[in-house]
Amino acid sequence: MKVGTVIIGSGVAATAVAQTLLKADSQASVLILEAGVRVKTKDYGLWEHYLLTRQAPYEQYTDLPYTTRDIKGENKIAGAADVTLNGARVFAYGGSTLHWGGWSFRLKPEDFYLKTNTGNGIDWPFDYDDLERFYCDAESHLAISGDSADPLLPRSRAYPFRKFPFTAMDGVIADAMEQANILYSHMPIARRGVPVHSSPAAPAQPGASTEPSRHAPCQTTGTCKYCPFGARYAACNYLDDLTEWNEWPGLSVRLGAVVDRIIIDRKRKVKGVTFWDRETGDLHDVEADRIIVAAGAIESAKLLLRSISTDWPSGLGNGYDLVGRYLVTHPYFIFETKFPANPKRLQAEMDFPTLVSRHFDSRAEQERGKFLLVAPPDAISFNLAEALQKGHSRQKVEELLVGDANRVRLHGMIEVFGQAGNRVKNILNDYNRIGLPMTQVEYTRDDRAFEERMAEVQSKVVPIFAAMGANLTEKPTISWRADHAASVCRMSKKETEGVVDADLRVHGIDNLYVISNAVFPNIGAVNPTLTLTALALRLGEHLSSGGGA
Amino acid sequence: MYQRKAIHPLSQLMSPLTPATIDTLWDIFVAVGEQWSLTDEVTSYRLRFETFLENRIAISPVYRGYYVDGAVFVTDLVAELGRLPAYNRLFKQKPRVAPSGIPATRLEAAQRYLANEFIVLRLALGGFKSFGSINYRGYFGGANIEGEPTPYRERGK
Repeated sequence: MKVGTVIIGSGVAATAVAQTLLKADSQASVLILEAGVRVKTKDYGLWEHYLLTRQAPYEQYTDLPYTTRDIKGENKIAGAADVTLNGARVFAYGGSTLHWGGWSFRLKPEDFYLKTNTGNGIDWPFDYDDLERFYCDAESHLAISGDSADPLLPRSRAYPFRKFPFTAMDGVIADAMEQANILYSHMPIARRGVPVHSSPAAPAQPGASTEPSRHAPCQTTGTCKYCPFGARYAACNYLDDLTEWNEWPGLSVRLGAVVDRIIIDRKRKVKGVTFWDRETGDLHDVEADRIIVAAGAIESAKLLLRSISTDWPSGLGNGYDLVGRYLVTHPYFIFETKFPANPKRLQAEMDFPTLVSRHFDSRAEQERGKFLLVAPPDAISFNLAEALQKGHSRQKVEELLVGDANRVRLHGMIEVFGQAGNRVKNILNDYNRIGLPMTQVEYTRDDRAFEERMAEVQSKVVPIFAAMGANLTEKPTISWRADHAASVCRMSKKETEGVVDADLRVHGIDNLYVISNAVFPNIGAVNPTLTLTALALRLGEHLSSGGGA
Repeated sequence: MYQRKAIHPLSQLMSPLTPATIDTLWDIFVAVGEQWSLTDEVTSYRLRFETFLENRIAISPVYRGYYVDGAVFVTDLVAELGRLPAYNRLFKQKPRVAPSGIPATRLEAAQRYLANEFIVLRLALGGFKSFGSINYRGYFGGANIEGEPTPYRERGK
């Protein structure tokens, strides 16, 4: 079997690249290989099950917890610190977009100059201005609802859909932030909206969506982790569109295809992949002119590492022992304390945030680690269904709602910096349930320095809680889950500093590309998916315009 | 292909619930509103309620057993205690710590798989409105459209 392009993985990066290639050449031959299987989306019965239990049908396709004394799990943590894989990613058609929250931030201009500004890491090989138009395209691809008038960042086009107004609950936090002189904005969120009407008399802003879509707009069901309408972007729904609604005969998607290794032709050229079929166990080779690894940060690095030859004895692109290294993710923190009273009867009405503060995601904080604050959709903890299920009387439920029994929460993420010793590797003799080699995570951190930094963060959020009449004294809970694992094949100008070049081509190989969070030199303080999508669209344009192999 | 309904293979072999069972389950669902003085109009939910029962069985065939036995159990309880005391026992007499694992009694099974789930459904269909909000988890609040009312309570309004 021979194709033009093999793409490994079926998440947002694969989808965006494939679409760009096929729009440029409708006859292009593109084969997408996905190790996982299809999960039913937009199924009403499964949605009701999620509503009742909060169990989504894709949860069985994440990593198991690490092995403990009593439980046979998956993967191995070999460093001093626990970076959790369980729940962090989804091995299925559509990848981790099946479970993502849809928070869709651009990096800030200073993020592209981490080394210059702080001495940490490396700079990106291009800057915000170079990526800006791809950010606009990515916002369109992901169907983002956002505030086009937000002065936070320069933008050349409007968001495709209007911002979601602040909820009443977020209003409490917005008021508190104003009292504390902390800036806040509307959350840019991947929830499809309703196209605007454009006419010669009243033309829509450039960028605003005016076209109807096969995908339904968000109906604010409060069940975003399993949207019954598909209004939250999930790559599998879009890949289905690409295959079913277009005249693209060269596009095919093969599920249950576990790529074992990349076949190397000679030092500067790869010639295909070997995968095995999960149903039959048969091995297959596919030849390709070009290979794009879009398998998520960790699996992309692992695939390069286990693809070896005499020219590449320690893995493709690993001549400088950089593949798999500089692993970072976002520590996710939750500050929570007692809420004095809730006379406005505030409770969760949505399942996504409408308010975010990037006040501390700033140049001033960059050296110590920028951070983001988010008002979660359940910022005030009252849970009506739970109160009824416990058997409380109506009067008691009312007391719980308006009284002092509730908690108030503020979430956030903080930037940490890559270290060469923090890495991922294959465990080659042990396979997970999907059929991929298990992952060894080696991660060490300076707990004392991190705790000091979190104390600084706390000192900056205490005034917000104080403005709400709440006294924050408890330390936050912190998760080091690897949802935003990144930088393990980082992009660099020099091959001595990174794994891929500015065009995402693996240094030293003419026809091998990586597009995943692995290529980010750093991830700032924000969710990486919008930037990943922008990079994927940029790669697609580069390849379609004759750049690269 | 995505729109194909999720159905457990064993569920395909099962006969549908009888009208009498569905009527009893519906009465439990109606009683949720009576217990907590919900002000929404329950009669408009009948079709969605019956679809809900079908969907639960389609995904997990054991639900047919929960529904058939739960309806018998509640009918007997109402006959023994009277309607209001029977539903008080079903909805209000709960252990301090929510049980998990295999239900130990028929009452526990009815509380977990009928009463508690019907509460969630009833609130999602509109029962939540009695508590002051205009949108809720599971409620189809509508889209965010320029010039139309925001489908949830908005800051400052």
